[in-house]
Amino acid sequence: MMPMGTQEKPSSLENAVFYVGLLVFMGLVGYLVFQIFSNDALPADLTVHFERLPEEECGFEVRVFNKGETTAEAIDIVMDLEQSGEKVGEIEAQIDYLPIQSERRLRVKFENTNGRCDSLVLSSVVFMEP
Amino acid sequence: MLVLSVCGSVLFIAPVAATEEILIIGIESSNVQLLIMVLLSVLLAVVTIFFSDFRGSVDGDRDFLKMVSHTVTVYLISLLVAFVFLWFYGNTNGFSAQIIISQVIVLGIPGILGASAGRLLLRSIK
Repeated sequence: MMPMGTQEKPSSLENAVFYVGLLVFMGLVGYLVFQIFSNDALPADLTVHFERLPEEECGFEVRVFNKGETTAEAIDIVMDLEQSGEKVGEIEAQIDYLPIQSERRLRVKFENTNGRCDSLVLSSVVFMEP
Repeated sequence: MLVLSVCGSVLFIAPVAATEEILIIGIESSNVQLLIMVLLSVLLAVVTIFFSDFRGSVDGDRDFLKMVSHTVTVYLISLLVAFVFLWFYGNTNGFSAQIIISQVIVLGIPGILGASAGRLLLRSIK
C-alpha cells in the first residue's frame, strides 16, 4: 500500500465504501435535521402489561413500554397481587430509565402465597422526566 | 486503508462500547446536540488526517475531493464498527431505532478518532 499523500488510484471497494458512506452521512444529517424540525416532544407515556409465567406458580412477566417522545427516569412501579379481588401481596419494581419507544421486561415472583395469586394489578407508576 | 481504519476504530471503540455512559449520553442528547456531534466527528477526522503532524498524515496535498473521500470513508467505518460493538454488547436490544442511532453517533466520536489517528499510528508502527 502506498503512503497517504501520494497519488493512488482508489480500488473499487474503496469507491463503494465512499459512495455508501456519502449516502449514510447525508441520510444521517437529513434524519437529524428532520427530527429537529418535526419533534413534537411528547411527554413520556408508560404502558405496563402483565403475563403469567407458566413455569412459576406465582410468577409474572411485566413489560413496561414507553410510547412517548421523552425518556422516563427513576420509574417506580407498584403492583398488587390479588386473589378473587382481595389483595394478598404487594411488590415494587424500579427502573433507572426507559428511553423513547423502548421496552423493559421484568420477572416478578411471589413467595409464600399458597397458590393464592389469580391476578396481578398495577397500583401505581411514578417516574421523572429529565 | 480500509483495514487499517477498521483496526484503528476497533482499538478506540472497544474499551468504551460496553460502558453505560454511551447509552446515557445517547438518551440525554437532543437532536441538535447529536447533529453537532456528527459535524464535530467529521471535523475531527479532517483535522487528524489532513492538518496534524502525524507521520503518514497528508501533508501539502489537500485536495478537496480527497478530503471528502477520506473523511466520509472513515466516518462510515467508525459508524459501522460502533454499531457492531453496540450489538455485540447487547446495547441494541429493546431500544428504538432513534436510541440506537443516538448511541452509534456518540460512539462514532472515539470511533472516527481511531479510524483516522489510529490508522496513522498503526501505519507508523508498521
